[in-house]
Amino acid sequence: MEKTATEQQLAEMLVDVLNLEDVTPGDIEPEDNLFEGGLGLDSIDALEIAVAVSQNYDIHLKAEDEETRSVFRSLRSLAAFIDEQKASG
Amino acid sequence: MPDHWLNRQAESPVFVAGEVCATASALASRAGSIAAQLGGTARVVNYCEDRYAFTAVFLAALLKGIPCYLLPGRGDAYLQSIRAAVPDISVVTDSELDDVGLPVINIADCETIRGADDSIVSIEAMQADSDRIAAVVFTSGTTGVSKPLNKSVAALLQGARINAGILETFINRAQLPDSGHVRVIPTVPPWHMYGLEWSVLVPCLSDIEVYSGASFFPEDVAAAMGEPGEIHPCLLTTPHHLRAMVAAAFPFERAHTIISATAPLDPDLAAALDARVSGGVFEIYGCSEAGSVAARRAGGSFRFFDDFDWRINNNGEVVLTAGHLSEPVVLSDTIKIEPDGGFSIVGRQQDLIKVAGKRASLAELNLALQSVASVQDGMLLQPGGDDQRLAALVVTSVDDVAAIIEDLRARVDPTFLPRRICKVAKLPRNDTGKVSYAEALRLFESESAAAAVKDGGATS
Repeated sequence: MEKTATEQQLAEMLVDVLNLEDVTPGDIEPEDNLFEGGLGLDSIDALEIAVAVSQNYDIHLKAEDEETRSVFRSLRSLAAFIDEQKASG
Repeated sequence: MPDHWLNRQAESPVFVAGEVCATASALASRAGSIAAQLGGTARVVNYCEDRYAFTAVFLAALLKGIPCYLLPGRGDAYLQSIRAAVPDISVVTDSELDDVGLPVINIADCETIRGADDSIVSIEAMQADSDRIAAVVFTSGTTGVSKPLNKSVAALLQGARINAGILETFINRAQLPDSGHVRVIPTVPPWHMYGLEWSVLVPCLSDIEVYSGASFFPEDVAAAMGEPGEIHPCLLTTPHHLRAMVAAAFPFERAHTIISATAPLDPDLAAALDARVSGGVFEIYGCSEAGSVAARRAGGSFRFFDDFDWRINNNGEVVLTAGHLSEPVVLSDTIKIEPDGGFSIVGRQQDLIKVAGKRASLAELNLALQSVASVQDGMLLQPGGDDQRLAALVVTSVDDVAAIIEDLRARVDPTFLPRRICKVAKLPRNDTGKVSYAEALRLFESESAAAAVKDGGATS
């Protein structure tokens, strides 16, 4: 599946920040689940991702319950959220 | 000293989330209405995510005289383990739960009882110094329901009294400006001992409020601190979270106190944060078996709380006793007595490891790894050092190690899944079948280096 520029950047960021040594950015499909199943990330990773996103994009993730769960669902949803925040910010 | 639960002024705020706050009387009310729903079950799993809901369920179970089981994590695997091992147990939750094969009580369905006074009276009248089991805590990083720790009503209450007193010394109210009140902001869940002790039990006995809204991401923690002057924020957190908050440029100047536990806090980081907050940085030391037992201010030495007696046994281990502990507790850390009479932590019993402050037995994790069908032999390592992610050495004929991780996912807490799996021909076991950890680490490092060289040519 083709990745957008943001999705590609994020895939590289995830591999780097989370030390996913057996995974390359190319392995992360945009629609795969990041958390349950898929990459199988956990809450420790969620924190690392939030910090990396704030450092790289100056966008600050917050837990708005259902909304944050859906933002974190996949590479695609996270990238879409970032693009949307950049456009409005 | 309080001799019953929820010993606070009725209209004092206990939990705060955004603009909403729950007073002691509201908490008592809610606990009473939930207790009314617990008649048909001998024991409950407290599966609530919201801290206010979690505390209400905890008090409801106390009222009903039934034990509250606290699982080490969320997820179907944990619930299935409980279902297999514990009879006549219901899951009490504050959100939607898919069919788990166990009776589920959703507290959203419990109507709040009007007339709060009755509920407060019944909690006050509850026998406080009882040997009855109030909570069952599981500490293992594997999903098998092993090593349950039974916490009696009396032990939890005395622990809460001790901790409430210690919190007062941290806050040091005499030094606070008159205006404003103390708000504890926890970044830890209520179902682990640390969060249970300090953000669920202490607020039942102490005149502090606890933030129960979102307080995980640094942005949310910052928002929870409220307005300077009105609130004196006391962060209840871990070294792992503090490192993330530093990286996220968290405004520590707005915090009054920081409490850290679950793993050693780097002394330089402790000192740097201690200089930035208006109060101080305090580290708590404890274990699931004994609860919190010692504390130190940044730059100082740990001191055991007054209630604990300690001695060193013939194996050089620290043995703790206290009136509220049903048996002596042997600490898994080795300590060194400092010139000021306090102590520092110098090492941990080899089998116990921590990842981001969560504890597990390496032996149990290794058993779980070895029970994966495609793993002929294997062991877990911590190449990055204490509190870092795990890696694994594995002897297997399968090409794709991802399948091994998938299989392991059903057996261990995701925190302890290896981030890197290194395939080897065999583990360096000696004649008695034991593997030297140091040798295994060397093997891992040399295999990883070799693999990196090999991949370096292949990656585009």
